Amino acid sequence: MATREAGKKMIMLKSPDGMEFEVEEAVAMESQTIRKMIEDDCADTAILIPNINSKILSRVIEYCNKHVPTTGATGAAASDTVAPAALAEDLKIWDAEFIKVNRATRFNLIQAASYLNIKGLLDLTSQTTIDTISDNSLEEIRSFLSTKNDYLPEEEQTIRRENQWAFQ
Amino acid sequence: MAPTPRCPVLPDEIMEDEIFARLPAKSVLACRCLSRAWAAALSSEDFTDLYHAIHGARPKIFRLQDSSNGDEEEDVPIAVTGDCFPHLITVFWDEDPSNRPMHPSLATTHCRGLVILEHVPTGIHFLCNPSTGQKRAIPEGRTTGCRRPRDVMERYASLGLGYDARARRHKVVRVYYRGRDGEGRPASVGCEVYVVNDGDGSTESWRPIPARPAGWVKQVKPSVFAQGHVYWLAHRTLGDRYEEIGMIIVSFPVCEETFATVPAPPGIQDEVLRKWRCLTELAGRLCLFSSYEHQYHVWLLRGHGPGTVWDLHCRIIEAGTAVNRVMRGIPLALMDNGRSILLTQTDFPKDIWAYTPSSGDIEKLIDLKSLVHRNNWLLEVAVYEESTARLGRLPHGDIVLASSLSTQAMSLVLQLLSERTLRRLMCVCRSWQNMIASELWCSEYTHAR
Repeated sequence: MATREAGKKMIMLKSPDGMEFEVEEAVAMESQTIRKMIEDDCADTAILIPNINSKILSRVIEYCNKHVPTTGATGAAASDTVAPAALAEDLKIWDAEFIKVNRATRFNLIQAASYLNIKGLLDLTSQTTIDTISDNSLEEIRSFLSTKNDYLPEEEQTIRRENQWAFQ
Repeated sequence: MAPTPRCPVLPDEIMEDEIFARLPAKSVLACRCLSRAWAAALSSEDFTDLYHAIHGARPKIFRLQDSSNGDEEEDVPIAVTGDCFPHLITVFWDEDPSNRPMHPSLATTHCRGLVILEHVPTGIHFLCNPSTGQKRAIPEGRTTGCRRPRDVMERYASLGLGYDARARRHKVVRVYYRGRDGEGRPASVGCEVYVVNDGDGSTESWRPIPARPAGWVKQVKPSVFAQGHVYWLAHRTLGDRYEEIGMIIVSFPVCEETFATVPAPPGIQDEVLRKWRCLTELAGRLCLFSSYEHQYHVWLLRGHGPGTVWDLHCRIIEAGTAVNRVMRGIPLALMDNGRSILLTQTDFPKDIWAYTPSSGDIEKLIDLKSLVHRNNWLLEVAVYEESTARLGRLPHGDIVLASSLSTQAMSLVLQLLSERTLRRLMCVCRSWQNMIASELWCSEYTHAR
């Protein structure tokens, strides 16, 4: 957690199970959804984040804390001035560690990132699922999605022919 | 026996918006075979728009090569930056019935996932989606007049490819010249439009339009699509021996189907425009790249219509020899938030370079020669966008939407309802929404009324 410094504006985020998280405004604004609320002045003292439980919300905040552009004494974004390559490498390692979670948590994180509109977190969390779909057969994807194949056999043949480029 | 815990599943909206929309186009096509509901969702125009919104800003690179000796060629995408940009792919040509060598040539820049390629020996134009490999011949347009063999003017025509955001269709615009005046120059100009995927395939044809460009468009260089307009370099008059006089840039707004001209950037002389320039697209904007006496200018057009302005993206004066060598080419794309430009040679490209104007650094990113079989010529490299854009109508819409008995029955019932009720029923579930929103169903609904 980032140390709180004097003069930094804090925002209270509330999860539906009643937990409250106090975060810096800059950190909360990693979420485009929250940013819009703040800019439109819809945010009072506390923002209720629906559908995201405290366990997931705390992880999302952890991610935003790590990824918020750190500001130096001059106020310039440090990522532009201090060895950006090293910084990016550090973040990469941190991300890889962060995403070592079970499937249910990962899906919850994807949904949270989607609702809160946090691009980096979404890219990070959805990549495993994207790889799963890219690399597996239709039958495996169907079971992954719990989708039933409702084509008649000859229809499936026709549809496959229509999309033959995909199977080459 | 303990019950197997049910696998967690992502909601369909999240799957569509965050997972499928990020997949490679080929995987999306394959996933249309999963089930009726997914086929409808992944073929919808809304999904295509979403897919474009994500992939439009991530240009990729493809290469065109003479494929006469291409048997050992492998279609291996190569990541250059490790990030999303750029990959290289090869567009393969199917067996050629005439058995002639195949020289694909780029007729337009890419436009929302599609490009037009010309099959040089036959002069047939193909629409092509480089990300899926799908190709489709465009019907032949009107005659350009004189049909004498080897006549220079025989094929004096140029195609442009654009996207009409209102009709949500790709359009091909063709400018052609016909007849001859006393001096042997073409006498008049005509223009026609072809709407891609309009109708069931049998009715697709060219439609003449009254608008005419105010000059003679260059037919050798690809036309460019940017911000809803097709652009060509053109010249106002054609002198003796086809000398080009009075260079202009012609624009064609794809929705309105009219022609206008764009003034050249300030300080760009006619001679520079005629000899040392190329028109392309960079980061979604029209780019004019001029190279003249070791001075290089990259101009980007801001906006369109009367209030349009050229921004000087960068200027390189007295560049070193390494830069001079590469600058004889074309800019392909901007990288690193516009901080560097990818460049390659115009004809028979050998490598792709990244040039950073602020530092003057130049770095070779891809050695193209090593990627091509030594008996083949690498003809061109160009930028494209990963896209699910299809050529031809909705993949068997009747199967996707209406062939199961229950769907057929539901479809009949829904057709009896008012449009207002339908709008509300679209919220019932995804498959209803897809059915009600589908084009096929809409036309049946209108027909039933």
